[in-house]
Amino acid sequence: MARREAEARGVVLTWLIAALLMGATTLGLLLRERNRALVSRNEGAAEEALRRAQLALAVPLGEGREEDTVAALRALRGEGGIREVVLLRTRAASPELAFVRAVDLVAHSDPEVMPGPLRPRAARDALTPPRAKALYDWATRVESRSGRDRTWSRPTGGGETLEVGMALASKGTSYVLGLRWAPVEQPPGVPALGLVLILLVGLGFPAAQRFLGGRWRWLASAGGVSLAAVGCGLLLAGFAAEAPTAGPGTGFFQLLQSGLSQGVPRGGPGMAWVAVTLVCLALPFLGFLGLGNRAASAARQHRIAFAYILPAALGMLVLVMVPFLIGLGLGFFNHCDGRYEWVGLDNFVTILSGGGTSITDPLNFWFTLGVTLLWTFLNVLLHVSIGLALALLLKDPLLAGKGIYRVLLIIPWAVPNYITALMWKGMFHQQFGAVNQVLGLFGVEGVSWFSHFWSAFTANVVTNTWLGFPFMMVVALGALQSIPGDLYEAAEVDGASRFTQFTRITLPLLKPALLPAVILGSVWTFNQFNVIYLVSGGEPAGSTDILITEAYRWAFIRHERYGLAAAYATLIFLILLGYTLITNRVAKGAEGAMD
Amino acid sequence: MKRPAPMSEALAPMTGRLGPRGLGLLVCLLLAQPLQSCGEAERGEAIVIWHSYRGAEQEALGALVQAFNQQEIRIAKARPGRRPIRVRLMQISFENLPNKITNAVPRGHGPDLFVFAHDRLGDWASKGLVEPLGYWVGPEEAAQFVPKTLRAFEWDGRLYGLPLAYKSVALFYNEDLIGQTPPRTTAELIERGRRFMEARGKGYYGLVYEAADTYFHAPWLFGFGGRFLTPCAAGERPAGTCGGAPLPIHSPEAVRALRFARRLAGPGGIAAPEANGQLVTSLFTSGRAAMAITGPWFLSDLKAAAKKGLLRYRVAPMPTITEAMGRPARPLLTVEGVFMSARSSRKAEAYRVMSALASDEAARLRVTGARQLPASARVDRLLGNPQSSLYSRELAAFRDQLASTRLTPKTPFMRLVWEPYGQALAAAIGRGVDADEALGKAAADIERVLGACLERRR
Repeated sequence: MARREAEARGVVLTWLIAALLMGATTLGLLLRERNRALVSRNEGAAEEALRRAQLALAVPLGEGREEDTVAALRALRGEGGIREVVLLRTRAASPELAFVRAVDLVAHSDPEVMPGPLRPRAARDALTPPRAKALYDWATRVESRSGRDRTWSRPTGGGETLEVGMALASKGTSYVLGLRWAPVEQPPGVPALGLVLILLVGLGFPAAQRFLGGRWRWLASAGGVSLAAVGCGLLLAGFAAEAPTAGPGTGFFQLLQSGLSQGVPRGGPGMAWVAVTLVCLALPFLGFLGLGNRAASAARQHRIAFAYILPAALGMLVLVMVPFLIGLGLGFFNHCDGRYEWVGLDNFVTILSGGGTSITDPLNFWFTLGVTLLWTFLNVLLHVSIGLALALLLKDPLLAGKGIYRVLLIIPWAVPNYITALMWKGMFHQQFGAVNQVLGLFGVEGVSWFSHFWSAFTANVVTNTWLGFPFMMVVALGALQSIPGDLYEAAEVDGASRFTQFTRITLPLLKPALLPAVILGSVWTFNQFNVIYLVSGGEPAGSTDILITEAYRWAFIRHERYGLAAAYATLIFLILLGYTLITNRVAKGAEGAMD
Repeated sequence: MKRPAPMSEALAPMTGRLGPRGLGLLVCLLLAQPLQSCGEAERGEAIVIWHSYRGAEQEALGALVQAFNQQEIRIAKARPGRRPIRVRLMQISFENLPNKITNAVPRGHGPDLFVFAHDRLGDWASKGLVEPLGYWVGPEEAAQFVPKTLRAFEWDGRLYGLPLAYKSVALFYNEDLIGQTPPRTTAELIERGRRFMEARGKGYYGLVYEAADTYFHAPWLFGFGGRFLTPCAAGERPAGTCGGAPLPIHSPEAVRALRFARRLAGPGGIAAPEANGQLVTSLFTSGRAAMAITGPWFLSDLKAAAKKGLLRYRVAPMPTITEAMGRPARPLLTVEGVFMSARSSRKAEAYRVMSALASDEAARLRVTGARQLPASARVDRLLGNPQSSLYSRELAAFRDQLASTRLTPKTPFMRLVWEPYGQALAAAIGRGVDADEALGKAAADIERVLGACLERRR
């Protein structure tokens, strides 16, 4: 009976929260609309003020009466919200250096700032930096080359006034008119409440779940969460800042204040918002899974152990998890000239559909994937077979100078791989490379290694094989030592050949040691950036690029398409995750069969 | 169960030994953000300059800054109450400097000034990372510079940097191998190169240059009347005033230029195949290539060989292109200059340092010390005057080249062009792909790379 009541209470509470959320969202949207209207009204008023100033100044300026110009400027003050007017007349230094402006006339509406009109040199010296510099820059921010243009800016700091500038240019002379001007009405800062409420609701869910039980608990939280998600989606969808007076917010509190009123800018801070909101939304789910309780009780039980791993865990969180999550999130944005734009799954669609390229084009994902898989397979095959063969040779306890051989064979592994890669690149040079000189002894003339796919690919594989076999050899050597010798003796007594011994004793007993090494090795090779980037560099025409170097190109060479690169990285992660899961299962199965 | 000692107790012996000052230092070390401010306060706020010069260029800049610092101290002594400006140099590798600027400046960690090439300006200026200098640089100040080099620092009608030195390619030739006078036309160049190759046989080349590199192909492209970007996309005219595709990569002129480059450097041409920077140096210094197309940085590579008397070389402006109705080949011009960070806290002082770095005296040192081509108009005139002590035959040739150079575009677009265009060059010159097809693919690739960004630009 009591449980029933609790369940009912839980449902009511959830729906209450959902209703509150919807209300907050609606309020936010309404306020944003109101604010947009306000902004457009302000724009109209500013336009009007500019026109008035232009009209008032045109005649005295045109007739060169400077005293009258200043008088007109002063008269403008206080009219229609105009607080301050500054006029700058500049001339181009020369036709070919139009951007070097000689200040010709400066006038200011405030007699205290500037008593009268000022002529060239004096003008620049009269206004002392930094204010003068700010005024000058602000005024010339207006595009002075095109006939007429406007600029808007939101003042930093006070927030009491808006700045509006206009430039008129004709025959090398440009007039820049700047107005500091009070807006009709301050944009309200309240709508941020909507966002705050969403966060509170998100946090409220785990608390609310305490009152719920059974499948109601699931239904209620799912319903609430999906409503919250819908609300957040609505908010995020409308986040494009449209008000020209809104500067990009930077600080967290500034962001909070501008909130919905002007829209959260897309990109960095906007993404932080998305992340925070999503985390809040995820909390109830974690609570639902019982993770919270389990984690809490575990923390209580093993307090000291947790205290010890805390620094490392924090380090991992900051250095691994945060970049990883940001990378995952970035895959849903498009980056273009410093601006991020939410594009949903577009990046993934572009990549997986090939983006309009044929399957034989190096820009096509599937082509690159094919090259990557071939690259990984060939490398691991060569690493394991060469490593195993050498290990078998070195296993012989009677071999003289074993230590020397071992050291020599491990050297390729000990040298940093980019140094090795650069040496191999030099060796594959068409004219001066060692490889071609050796081939020249056999009558093969100047192979141009990096101008054909297969030769460039071979060069990469050769380099990476050189780098990779020592690891497999060391692993195999270690495992070979642990195989008891009496097994071989028994096999010999039974009359088994050396080959049978190898396939029936050595290989099965090596498997537990080799399999993890193969998995590890294939993951390394799959992401072997250094060799591809330094040896072939993707030549010819990017065809020998593997997925990871392709992602690098998208991020840092091809117009900073960070979103696309992040999507590539996500896909690489998914491929490797799937591969690891499958091989783990296979490995476990194999272990089971051995028992 | 034994409980671990609280943190404060564990730290007690350490803090005891360190004392309050040590503790402060510890706090500084612990918090990455205040680290800078702690250090800054002790050093007395020097104006920090980032640069990526090395070798002689680094020494020249170091000497300049040292002289400036000493002069500031002298002036401060003579005039009490005036605080001397201190300048501190910080070298950052050429590859990392632009990214560091892009990342550090918005967070307020960057330098006050930095020295770099002009070609990233569009990116930096539109992101508001660099400070406009129009307030300080009027007509008189502007007249100190060679106009073309100053134009490199203009973006959207405003000036963002002071030019220091410029670089472009020119034609190096070995006078023992092809004679004292340079080839004036490409027909002459090919003819002389071929004669040299026929005389020497296999392993000798008439010309060596990095044919598959977009930068070194540019002289031919511009010579044939082609372009990498439209004036709008290159930032020469405001966006929106010219329609159409932003990238005239696959134009008839570009195709003609590429066909010409293939005749020069492809199979049967006079240029060494698959040339890279090292190959250019080794072939030219060893006398196995009679001519080379490269920039002023090559002069220092040649110094050792020339000193031993093994190599007698000269520099001349690029030839005119016979196949393009005698129009001159136009190399790309890159101008190095000093920029001011928009986040510098002492802009007026930073500008004084800037103008000292860009002064005539500094330019003089740059020529004599680092063999750079100065942007200072007065020193530039001296450089071209055989009577002047600054005159040098090689640098004068680069100076003559300046007139027919084209400024490297300053938009982020250009960075997109290098790689696919280079691939088209490699395909057409090295692998015999048709020039038309190779450039068509490059254009398609670039459009694909731009993706959604392209729509906005149109």
